[in-house]
Amino acid sequence: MMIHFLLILLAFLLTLGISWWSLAYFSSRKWEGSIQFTLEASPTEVYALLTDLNRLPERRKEVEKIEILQPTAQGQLHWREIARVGAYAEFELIRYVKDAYWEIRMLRSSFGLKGTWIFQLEQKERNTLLTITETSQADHFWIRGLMQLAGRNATLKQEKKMLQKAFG
Amino acid sequence: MKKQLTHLYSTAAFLAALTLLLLLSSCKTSSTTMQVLVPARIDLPNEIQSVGVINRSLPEKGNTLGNILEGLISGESIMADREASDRCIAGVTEHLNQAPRFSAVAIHGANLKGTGTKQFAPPLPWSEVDRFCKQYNVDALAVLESFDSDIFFDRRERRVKRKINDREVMVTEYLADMNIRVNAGWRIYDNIQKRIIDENVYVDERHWDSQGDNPEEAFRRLPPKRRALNDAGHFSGQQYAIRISPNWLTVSRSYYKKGNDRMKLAREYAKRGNWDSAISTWKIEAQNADPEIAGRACYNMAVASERNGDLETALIWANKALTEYNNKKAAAYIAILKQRLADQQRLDRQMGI
Repeated sequence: MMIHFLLILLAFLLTLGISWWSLAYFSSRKWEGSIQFTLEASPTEVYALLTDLNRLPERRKEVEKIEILQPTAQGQLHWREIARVGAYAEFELIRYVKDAYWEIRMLRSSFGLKGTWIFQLEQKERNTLLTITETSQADHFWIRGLMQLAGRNATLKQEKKMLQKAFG
Repeated sequence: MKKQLTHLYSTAAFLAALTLLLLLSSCKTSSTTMQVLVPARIDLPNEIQSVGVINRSLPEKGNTLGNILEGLISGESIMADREASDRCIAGVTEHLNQAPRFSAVAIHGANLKGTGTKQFAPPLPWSEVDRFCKQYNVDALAVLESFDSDIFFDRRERRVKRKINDREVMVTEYLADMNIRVNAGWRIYDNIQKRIIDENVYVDERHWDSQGDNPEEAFRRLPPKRRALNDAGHFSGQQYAIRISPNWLTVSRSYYKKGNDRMKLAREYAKRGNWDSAISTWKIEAQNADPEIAGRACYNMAVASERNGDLETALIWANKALTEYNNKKAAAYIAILKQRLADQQRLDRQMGI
């Protein structure tokens, strides 16, 4: 009886594993999407928070610390985010317009993800209409698998959640 | 006590000095705005100058019943996606026509049927692509091959301070959230080279929220579902246009307005829009014996050159400000100019210059 139950469990887990593997294997490496929402703060306040790298660990609990690196060959701001679990991601600033636009690129990461994120801020009365656009590429097979489970727009949703929390 | 007071005085003195420093540094500069072109993220061959935009996301007759059933099960309004997908076409067309790269025309009444789901139908035959391109005098077709929307609602509550009868009290405020996620599948058919350039599904999400004294009031204050879905469709279209076309971005650049009387005069010229006179004055001041004034004038020459669209000269002046006169602001500006030069190469390819 016990062996019978264990065999069923094993078959179930195997089916689940194969399904996940196929989902990850056949899913696209590249993804593009965007999210738009309103924050109860001025563009100046939102921009200040987005661009304050030293306060990043405060608003993103998975980030343990930030290391400011030597500027890139272009002379752009360049930094490394180190996660609590030891993973890291290196970013560079592409272009910015104070209180209106912030574009960053993830150059490399230990988990095989890279991409570009654009934050566009627009004043709407006393609030900010924020549009975040992501163009990303998940090279590692297992990160694609995880993203299939969490949703490929998980990063955008997480950013929205954290910013909404920061601005009440 | 005395120690505490001394500490308080020194902190106050430090803050006052910092404020003064910030005020002084902000007083040194003025700013000017300019429009810069940001390259598209998807490169389209520069021989494509005009694009026809078609909706092929609507189902074949055989699939209509299935789509109606899906609408009934999911609670999404029947025919709502049809209307929203048309708004998506409008969003692309309007935005492409505002941007400098393409002229776009929305092709209505083409009666092209797709799957009506998230799946792509097989590509259109080139004979049909060619027929549309000739009929509407365009070089390529941007075809909305699939369109699907998902609506999510959420409710939350939070404690907030309110003034009631001149007294501040804590009350519960109810929040309602509505998220609409649009999955829009696009193909671009290049009729000149007879090849499909972009074939991808883009996920664009719009979010609305509202507050109320009770959950019902909060939900009532959300926009009507149909209108929100149409707005989400339009937003998704705009986002696609932004991906395939270079876009204007308004940027601000600061420049020095002080140093000596001639620097002040040049600032007056610039303020009145007489940039040629400002440039002539800064050029002279770039050779000033005072390295600080010379550095500032070089920096301003870089800004003026960028304003005139001469990025290479702007970079030369900015480098001079940094290397010869140790102007600290120039370092960050050099990075901006280098990025703009890299953008320019891509823009030249995209715009066919």
